[in-house]
Amino acid sequence: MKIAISKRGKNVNNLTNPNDFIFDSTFNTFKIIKTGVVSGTFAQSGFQTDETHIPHNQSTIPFVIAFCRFTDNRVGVPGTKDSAIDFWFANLYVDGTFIYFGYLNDTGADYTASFRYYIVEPILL
Amino acid sequence: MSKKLVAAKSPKNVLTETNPNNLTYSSDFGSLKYFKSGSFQVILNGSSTFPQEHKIDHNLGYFPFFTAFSDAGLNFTPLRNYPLSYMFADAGVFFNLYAYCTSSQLIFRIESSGVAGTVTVNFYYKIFRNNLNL
Repeated sequence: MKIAISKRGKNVNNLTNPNDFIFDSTFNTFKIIKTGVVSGTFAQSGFQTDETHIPHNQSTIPFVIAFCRFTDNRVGVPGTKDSAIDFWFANLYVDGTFIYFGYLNDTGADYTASFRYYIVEPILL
Repeated sequence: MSKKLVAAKSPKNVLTETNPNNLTYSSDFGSLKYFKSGSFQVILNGSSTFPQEHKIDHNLGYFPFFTAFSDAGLNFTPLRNYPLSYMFADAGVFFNLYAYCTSSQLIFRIESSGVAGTVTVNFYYKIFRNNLNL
């Protein structure tokens, strides 16, 4: 027995292509276990990466997705930077205890940024 | 007791299962809700100037969750798609692809030291209704 909702115009009783479903309980869904925001003012450090971290409080190494809001009012994923100056959201990584937000501040001054993170299921490892 | 909708993975018991790893769906947990998806091409050549940006309107009024990919113009067989951002550098030549969102647009930015010949770069994106609240 399953729960299924088809896209408009499709007959839910005879579909097999998952692209034709809005939802099908046969397939695992993306579940947001926890989300939060990490904000800070990050000191100028020259052309070298630094990081900040928070505990994730999960029993296994979680699958984490994150975004960074830059002061130019853009939001990017790891590997992106402020469009005007050299502040990078350099990398994102996770271990059994923490989520790490890597950055690089070569702007010549402190830089304020916010990171939105999502801890999701399925687990990563 | 609040009501919820739950579907468990076979052969777990949906009435007793609490571990989200054993559920295919639970209304206890948020998920991603599609808003818009699409693709487009950018053709680069020796006359192209950098950086350049290509913008897709979403007009949601907030920063949405998004994903973006590109083949980076590499034309591999079989096709390779790279999640953005993507960076390539070799012998003084570099090629950086980024994707950002604003409260109204998804922006694709290309930075490069220059391209030889003609390069067709394909971009793919999905924008979700989920508000990043940043």
